[in-house]
Parts: sequence; structure tokens; C-alpha cells
Amino acid sequence: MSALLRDLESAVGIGGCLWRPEELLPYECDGLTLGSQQAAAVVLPRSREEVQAVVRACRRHRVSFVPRGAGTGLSGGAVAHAAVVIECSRMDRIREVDAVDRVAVVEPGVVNADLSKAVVHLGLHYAPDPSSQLACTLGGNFAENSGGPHTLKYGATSRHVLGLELVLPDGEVVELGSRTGFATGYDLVGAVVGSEGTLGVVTAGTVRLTAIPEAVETLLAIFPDVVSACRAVTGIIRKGLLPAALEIVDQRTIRAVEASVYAAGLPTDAGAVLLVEIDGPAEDLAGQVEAVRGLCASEGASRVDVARDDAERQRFWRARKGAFGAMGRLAPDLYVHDAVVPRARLPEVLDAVCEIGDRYRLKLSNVFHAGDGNLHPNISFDRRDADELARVLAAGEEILRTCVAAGGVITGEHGVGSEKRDFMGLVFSEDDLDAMRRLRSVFDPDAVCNPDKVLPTPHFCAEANPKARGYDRVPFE
Amino acid sequence: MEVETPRVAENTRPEWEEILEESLACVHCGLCLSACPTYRQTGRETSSPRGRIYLMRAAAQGRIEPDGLLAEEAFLCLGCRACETACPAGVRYGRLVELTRSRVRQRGLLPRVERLLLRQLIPRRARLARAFDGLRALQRTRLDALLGSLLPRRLREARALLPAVPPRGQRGMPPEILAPEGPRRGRVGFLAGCVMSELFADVNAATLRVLSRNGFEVVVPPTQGCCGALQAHAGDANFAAELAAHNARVFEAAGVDAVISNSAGCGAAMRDSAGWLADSGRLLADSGRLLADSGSWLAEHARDVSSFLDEQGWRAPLEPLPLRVCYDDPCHLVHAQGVEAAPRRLLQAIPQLELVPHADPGACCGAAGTYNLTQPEMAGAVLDVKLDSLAAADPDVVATGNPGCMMQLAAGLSRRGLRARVKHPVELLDESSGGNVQGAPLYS
Amino acid sequence: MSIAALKGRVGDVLVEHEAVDVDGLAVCATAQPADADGISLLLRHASELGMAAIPCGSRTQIAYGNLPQRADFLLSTQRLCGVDDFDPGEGVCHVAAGTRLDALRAQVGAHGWRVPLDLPGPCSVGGALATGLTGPRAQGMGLPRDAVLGLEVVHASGTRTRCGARVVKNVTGYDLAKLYTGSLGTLGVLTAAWLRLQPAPAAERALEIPVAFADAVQVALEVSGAASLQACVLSTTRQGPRVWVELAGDAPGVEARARALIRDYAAREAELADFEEVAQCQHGCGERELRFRLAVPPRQLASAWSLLARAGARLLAHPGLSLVYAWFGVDAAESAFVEVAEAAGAGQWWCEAAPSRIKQGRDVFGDMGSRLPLVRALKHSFDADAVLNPGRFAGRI
Repeated sequence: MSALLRDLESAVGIGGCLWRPEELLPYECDGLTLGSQQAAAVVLPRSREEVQAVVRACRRHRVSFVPRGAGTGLSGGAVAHAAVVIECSRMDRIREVDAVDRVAVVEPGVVNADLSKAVVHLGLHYAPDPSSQLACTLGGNFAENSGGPHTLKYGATSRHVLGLELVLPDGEVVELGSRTGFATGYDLVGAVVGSEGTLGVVTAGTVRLTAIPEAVETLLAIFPDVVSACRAVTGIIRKGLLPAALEIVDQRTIRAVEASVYAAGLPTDAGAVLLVEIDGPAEDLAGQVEAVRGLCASEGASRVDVARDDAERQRFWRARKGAFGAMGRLAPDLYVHDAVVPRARLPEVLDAVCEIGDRYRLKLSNVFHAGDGNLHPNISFDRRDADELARVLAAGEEILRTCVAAGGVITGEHGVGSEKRDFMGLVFSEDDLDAMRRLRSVFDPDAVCNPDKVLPTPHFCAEANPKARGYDRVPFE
Repeated sequence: MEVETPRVAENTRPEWEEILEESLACVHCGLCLSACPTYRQTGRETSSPRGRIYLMRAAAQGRIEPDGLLAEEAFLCLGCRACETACPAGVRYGRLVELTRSRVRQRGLLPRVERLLLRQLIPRRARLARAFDGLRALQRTRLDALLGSLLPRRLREARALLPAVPPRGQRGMPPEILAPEGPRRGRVGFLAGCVMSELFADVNAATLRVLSRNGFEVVVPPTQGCCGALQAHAGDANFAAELAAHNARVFEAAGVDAVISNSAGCGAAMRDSAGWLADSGRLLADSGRLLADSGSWLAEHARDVSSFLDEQGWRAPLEPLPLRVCYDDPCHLVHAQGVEAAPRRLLQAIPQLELVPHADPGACCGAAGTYNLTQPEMAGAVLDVKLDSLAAADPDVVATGNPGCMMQLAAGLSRRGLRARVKHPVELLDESSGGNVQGAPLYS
Repeated sequence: MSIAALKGRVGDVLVEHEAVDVDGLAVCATAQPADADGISLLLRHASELGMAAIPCGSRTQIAYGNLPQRADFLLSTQRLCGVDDFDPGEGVCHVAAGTRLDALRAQVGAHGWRVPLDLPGPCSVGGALATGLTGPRAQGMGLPRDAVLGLEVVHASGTRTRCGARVVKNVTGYDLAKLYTGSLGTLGVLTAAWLRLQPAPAAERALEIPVAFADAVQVALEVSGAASLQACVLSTTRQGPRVWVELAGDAPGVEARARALIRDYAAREAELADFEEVAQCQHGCGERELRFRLAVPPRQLASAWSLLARAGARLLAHPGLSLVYAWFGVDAAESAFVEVAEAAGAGQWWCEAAPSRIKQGRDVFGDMGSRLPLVRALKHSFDADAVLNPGRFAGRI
């Protein structure tokens, strides 16, 4: 056993350190399975002090480290190449809930949905609800600035994080932000949220709890095709309505969902389904439901259903939220893309995305946060087919270029990670990226904290070479 | 990402092909993680469904030896299948684990002893009855406490779980046929179960009464055998298939509309048996077709007593029972059979009975068949979480419909000093609809 | 001398004039480049010459901050003006930093949108974002940091950079816009922003609730949690303590909420203009006054309020935002800093306005705790030669 492992074990105890090759195997990848990396070790600290001890041990042995939550991320941000994975799953206490101040103080391993469950009796909830909320951790949410369907009205994670306790890459602890969200100096909470675990290891967060909306209505509109559903979304936004969520599920996705345990009774012959959730004061909802209904009808919706009760509403949402996993039924592998375009350009971009999928002869489906312009083209494929894998990667890049050309960006909620690092040059100039490097160097001057993620090494941008990104490696076959 | 040469599987194991195929349905999304009791206890990806599937795939592809970490993890898994409820891709994880267990070797003496017991004792009714006679004798002389202290720790804990064994007349197989009360609505078969017959014969009796009161003629074929659940969980797939095939033939011959079980584990086994029999059917070229057919007959006709009564509609009048009741889902009912609302609806129909919510009713209690014998530490940790949530709700009764869960919860509640009693939902329904006549024999 | 050298390089963009006082420092030149390239050129030369600049917009908040360490000229973004991209179907706009808020409001308001920056009309967009300050409507609209989708920034070296984009959801790279927002121009000069607009509410109503001083905070906190409420002000400046609320949203919800407040709290109808007047109070500060802002969690709000009242402060609160404003007379300045720090407790405080001599030797941004080394390092990383607004920001960096 190496000196590093001995130090790690003394930091977290023998049961808290995994290092046998078999034990490390399942940490090869996270929610993105296109590539894989072998970690040096995995540690499972239980406290901030243990995290500090691990970070210091890593420094002593000049090994870098990668924080990890539940590993549900979709951009390869939590994989470690010869680095130590700091798995935060055992730091899962809700340290404090204060209904008066409307805050909770949580450790990074708390599961997103568990926080809302723990405060529901107070009439409160934690608003950001990524589709993986049943499993993903808040630490991971902080790192990725996770969104979710309700981001449209309530904002992504960043808007709900008031303070952070951060172990810096040198092992020191800083308290960022405050219980009110106001803090003097630069907005360091804003900088750390969404930094994909490259600026330190978050060991606690103070988050805002929000009153559960007084009333909710969920509508399901059936459209003959995806483009007319997009037009309805644009119409709703232009009209000045601000639904809590506006989600589109396309036909191929509907069929996968209906074949899974999350079947919601959606018509499998519909071209697209638009899910609209409206919440707010009870008195306002009737008018908004009618307005949405009218707009959907005028764009060609064949049917608009309003959920009759909470059970039906939950079922509509289960179908949407489980879509990603249900896609697993279409083929052995699934590549979930993530890009954002200006909302008004959704129809034309969607057309282009479908055209790309057809041209590369791929099974491409779309389920996305239409209200935010956040596209998720999903490609089902079999990585054992080398030719298909190459087409998947080429189509993926073309989709990103299309979105950027339409004024969009390459990720809206999954993060850059290792997946899109080398596409950062599509969106940013070398000077823009240099500004980001300046921020990183302040927190992590020696580049030991989740290295090789987010920022490309200079002069390496936009090289769409799968080899360079490790995608020619096939982990399972 | 760094460039490395692709790992080409060189040593693909042909006997793992089925596991490989099934595992491909997993897209690695991780939604199963938080549903998994062993992951929540350990925080280790290796102890999560996704991690185990990753290891299975690696074993199938010859990247790892199956008998190392994978074997440990396959048996650390509770088999509660909560991950199947969470899985949006419909991965049949329970099946993957059983297939894996049948293909890995465990180290040590205990697994061999367990296999012996599961083959030679549990499915043999007369031997089992004699074994319980012996246990009862020990319990009555209080010798068991003395002997208990000499036992290895694992068996000591198992002893603590066992309720007092009733006398011979108060246990064993129910009568062969029970007539319906009122107009006849149908004819059903009843799977008496091994543990249910020996330790919970009163629950069996209550089940028969309740079925009869609702107009069903109940047939209990005396030649019926063990359902095969414990054997399948332990990786003895072929033996489980044999047991299931026997029961399928017996019940089909009895001409019943449904095969009722009041043990979630037995019910789930009957519903899974189509898969086991199809598997062994592949191996037995001649009788394979027949086996597969009878397997699917059993799977289609098996019903938990709660879902059956809920489907058919409750008819008997119900008297008030002023009790606060926590209903705790047996994993093999909610996750393996998807039965969640039926027992709750039935209990709610009882006047003055208040269903009290508690945290995570669908989480495993740690009983999981023989799990509390083989993995006592994890079983204890998982049970503690359950007891915390029950203690907070403080009910009069905890209702759950599986013998393993009833024993595990009863032992846990008494160790914690909690006042709640454990009952099968059918017992409450029986009590509310007339109960057993005072002083009447068990099966009157 | 260096002004002359700079003028020699950049020409008429730089205008020399009579000394103007910026928080006790006499500044004798102002640069007004026409565009971001002009700012880039100017800063490149200024940094080469070792000069320092105070970036400014409409100068409405020019006195906000610590005493400037040094400054050779004011760098005004006033000529960077106008909205060059606004799609009413999108609800986002690209606006130059020098654009006045009232001009922007008028332009997007005509299409049913509003700007979620609650500062007075003469303020520039750049100024609003650089100071990060906000009025009470942030409760309904969100904070300035949440309104910014992207920023164009010129660094001290003259390098032009961009962060964020025109889309409403984005995690492409670090969220530098958060870092620039509220940085008082110390990391770079903002030249343009992509803003996320909000649908203008269909109905707005103002109400006032007379309260006794003793339970004023309690009532204000209760009331401020209501749905449809976009702003709540607890004011003591007029005839006794009053809780003022502004409701916004669809008409039925606003009406229902108003009826409930009238019924439960004996609220009275008020003019929107009256509410506006109260909302503006936070910006006032007499020449012989100090104005503090405190961020105190709701649980501590009542005790902070009464402590400040006992200390003789004039008070205003935005309870929904956890903010309290306190005015002290200049004679009580010494004790005011002590009382404010005590009232803030574990919260935060800022001295937003004070005569220059009071600021001498103090950090008006209060205490940064363990963050100070990071804040200093960031400043050094972006502006190592201290060209931009040296001395003015938190930590006197």
C-alpha cells in the first residue's frame, strides 16, 4: 500500500477509503458513459475536517482530487484521472432548518429531493428540481448550478444558494456569502456555484427555502409535431405569461416513457407533448390556464388536458422526469446533449437538429426545457458499433455549432466537464477564457482541484477530435 | 480526457451473456442510488445498484473475477428491489442479482450451510414441522437462552428474531377446503407458505376467514410445496425453478381462479417464477416448453391477498377499530409486485382506523429473507433507519404483509422499547369483520 | 503630467476640467469614449502610464465606496448608450452600460416588459450593475445578479472580454458575471449587458398599514411573505411607523391579496406614487448624515431594529429582503459604527453614505472575515496594477 493510501486512510478511516481496482471500477464514469477514467482512490469523508485532511494529504503527495456527489452528472465532471475522488455521499446531514429565516444549512451529500421532503411540513420547499432530483446531491447541484424544469420561473441553483463553506485546494476553509445572501466583497458564492468542483470542495451550503406555491395547475397539450409545440412556447412567452415550467417531450421520447414504469398514459401517436405548469395565487390561475389553452389551440394543439388532481399531475411529471432513463430502452447507450438557444429560435433550431440526426442516420429524440430554450437532443446508440459512435460524436458537434450559430451556448445545465471542454472556443474567445483562468488561479493556483475540466488548455480550443477527448475509449467493450 | 487504448474484452464469459444483455438496459443515470438501502448506509457506488450492474457487466466481459468484490456485493444487496421502482429504464435488477448469485461462489462455511437448509429443510414440510417442535421445546424449557449464549453471534441475533413457536395444534397446514359465506364469488387457491404455516398460522387462518367472508371458496392443496423465493434469492435458481414448477402443476390442477398468498415474498416469487422456469426450460430441451407454460400460468394467477380483495371489492361488514396504524410496505409487495395502494385502501375502509404516515414506508426494514442471518450488521443499520421513522410516528400498530418483515419489525420495536404491535393487514381486516370466535380452534 | 501624456495618446476622448471632488479626492479630467473599443484603448494607455481611473455612469452613486486611493481621471460610460438588440418575443435585451434606466424602461415597457433593476431612473445600467444596489422591489423582481445574462467588460489592460450570453439559462464556463456585478468596477469596466426582462405585471396596488413601533417588525415580516407582493417597506419617516406594501401580478390575485390585507391588518389604500416616494427614501442622505445598510436575517431583525432605534437612528427596512437602513447624525459617527456592527451581529453592514472625513481610515464595507484574502487575490489577478477604482471597494482594494 502506498504512502498516499496510508495517509488517506488515516484521514477518513479504513472503511472510508477505496483503492482496490475492483472497487474503483464503478467510479470510472458518472452519468456520461462516453469516456472513462481510472481514479487513484476514492475517499468517503464524513466531515469538513476529514475533507481538509484528505485535501492536505493529496497536496503532500502531489495528487489532484475530484469532488463527487451521486455521480448523476452528464458532462463527465466527476471522473478522476489518476486523482483521488472525494465522494461526499456520507456528508448527508441537514444541519439546520429555520422556517423563520427560510433557510436550510445542508451538507453536500444531501439528496435534492430529501431536502424538500424534510421541510414540506413547514409549507416550504427547495425550488431547483433537476430531473435527477431523487438521486442527485445538493453538493453536485452547487457545482453544476443545476437547473431543472422549474428554472424558468424560479431560477437555477445559483439563485437559491446564500452561503457556502468551502475547503480550498490548500486545505483552508472559507465561509462565503451569508444567511441573508448579502455579503460584502465580490460575489464569491456566485462564482463558486457552477464552477464544477474546480475551485474547492463545498462542505456545507446555506440555501433558500421557498414557500410552496399556493396553487398549481398542470396542462398537457398534444401537438401534431414538435415545431408547432415550440411555436406555442414562443407565443406563451411573448404574451407575457411566466409559467413555472414549459417542457416539450417529442414522439420518440413519449414512446420510450410509455414503455417504462413511468408510463403516464400519453398518446403514443402524438407528434409532441407540451407540459405547462402554472403556479401562484389561486385567483390568477383560471385566467392563465385559459390563456395557455387558447395559445396552444391556435398553434394546432389537438387536445389540452388539465391535470384533475395531484396524482395526475405527479404522473405527468414522472413521465417527463424519467424520460432520460426510459431512453435506455431504445438502445444500449444514450448520449444526452444539452445546449441553449434564444427561445424565439427554437422551431428553426429544432428543425436543424432533427435534420442533423437524420443525415447521420441516428435515433435522435428531444425532451427539453422549452421555456428556457434549453435543448436536450438525446441520441440512442450502441457504442460497440464504432461507425455509429463516430457518427454520434460528429452529429453532437454539429448540433452544438448550430446552436451557437443561432446565438446560443453549448450547455444550459449539464456543465462543461470533460465532455465539452474543448468546445469552449465555440462560445468564448481566448481572452474570455483567460478571464476564467484568472478566477481559477486565485482559488487553485496549482491546478489540483478537478483538473482538466471546464477550461481548455490554451490554443487547444474547438478541436473536434474525439481522440483528444478520450471518446475513442470504450469502457464496457 | 486522456487518450488510452480502448479496452477490448478478451475473456467474455459465455455463461454471463444473459447478464450482459440485461445490464445493457442500464444507462448509468444513477436514479437508483438514493433508493438503495445499502448505498444510503455506505455511500459507496460499489454498494449501489448502478455500481453492482457495472461490476456484473465487467465480470461478464472478463474485466474482473466474479468471485471477488462482485460476489460480496451481490450478497450484500438486500434484494429489496426499491431500485426497480426508481429505475426509469425498467432494468430488471432483482433478476440480475439472482442470476449473478447463481454464478458466483461465496467463500466460507455459512453459505454452504444455508444452501443445505434451503434445500433440505425449508421445502420439506414434515422436517420443518419437527424442527419447529424442537425449537418450541427449547423455548419452553428456557434452555434456548442458555444455548443461545453459546451460539455464534449471527445465529444469536436470529434467535432473538424468532417469536414463540405455537403448539402443534395451533400451527401447520390449514384445512383443505373452506366454503364461502354468502353467495359464492369464486374459487381461489391459497399458498400456505413455510414460515407462515409454522409461525403465523393465525395470520393464515385470518386470511382464510377474510376470503370466505367475502364470498370466496378457498382451496388449500395439501400437496403444495415451498414457493422457492429463498432459494432463488440465495442463487439456487434451478432448485427454485423445480419448486415453482411443482406448485404450478398443483394449483393449476386444483382449478382455481387465482392463487392467493399473504406473504409478499412468496407472492413475488410466484410472479417471478415465469422467468425462472423459462430459464431452466432452456436447459431442459424436452420438458422445457411445458415448464415455461406452467410458469407463466402461475405468474399470471398469483395475487397478494390485499390486491386480490381490493380488485374484487370488499363485501363483508366492518366494525370500528380505533387504532393508529402505520402501514409499512414489504419490498416484495411494493417494489417486486407494484402493490402500494391496495392494502392502504383496505385498511382505510375500517371505521375509526387512522392510517398514520411515517417516513419512507417503502424503504426496506432489513429483513430481506435470510438477509438478517447472512448480513446482520447491514440488516441492523437498515432496521435502525426504519425504527427511527416509526418511533417518530408512534402508532398503536405497524401493519405489514410479509413474515420476515413482521419478525424483523417486532424484534426491532421491542428492542427499542416501542409500544407498537406488529400485525398483518389481514389480521386487522379479520378483527374488524368478526375475527375468530372466542375459544374456537384455529381453523374453525 | 501623465494626464497630458495620456491625452497625447487618446486625444479628445479625455477632457481636462476644473477639479471635481470625488469623495475627498480632486479629479481634474474625465474620459468619455464613444464605444468599448475607445475604453479599451484608453485603459491600455492608462495602465501603461501607471494611471488610475474611476469608472462611472450617471454618477448618481459616485460617493458610494471607500475613499479612493488615487485617481487620475473619471472614466464615463455615458456615451455608450442605447439598446441595440431587443426582441419582444424573447424578453431579453442587449443594452449599453451608459443607458439610463428610465430610457430602457420606456423602450421595453412599450412592449409589455419591465427591467428588473429597482433603482431611480437617472441611474445607468452599468452603474446599477457595478454597485449591485437595489430598491425594495428586488423582493419580487430578484436581485441585480439574477437579471444579468451576460456582460461585456474591458479589463484594466484594455482587453475586451465577454461572459455569459443572450440566452436565459447558461452554465458554459464560470459565471464571471456574478463576480463583476457589485464589484464597483474594480475588476473591469462594464460596457454592455444582456439582461433578462420580466413581463410587466397586469395590475399593481399600494397599501399602507399603520403599526405600533413595538410590533412594527413583526407585522412587516408577516405581511412580506404574502403572495403577489413585490415590495414591502417598513418606514418611520412620515407620520409614525407604517408598513407599505406594493402588490403586483394578475388583477384577481392582487385584488384578493389587497382585500386580505385590508381585512387582517386594517391596511389602507395608497397611491402608487406615495409608495414610490417611500421606496426612494433609502437613497436620501443629508450632508451631515451617515447612511448604513444592514443585512440581518428575519429572526434577528426585531432586535437589530430596536437596538438601532435606541441608538437614535432614523430607520427604514425592507423586511422581505432582510435589509435595514439606518441614518445617524454626523456628530454620532463614532458610536454609530459601533452600534451598527453590534446590530448586524453575524449579519453584514455597509456604510453607504458618509462625509469623506468620516470614511477616513475606515472600510465602509464592513467585515469580510475569511473572504478577505480571496477578494484581494482576485483584485490582483484581474487588475494587478490597481488601475480601476483603487482603494474604493471592500477591503479597500
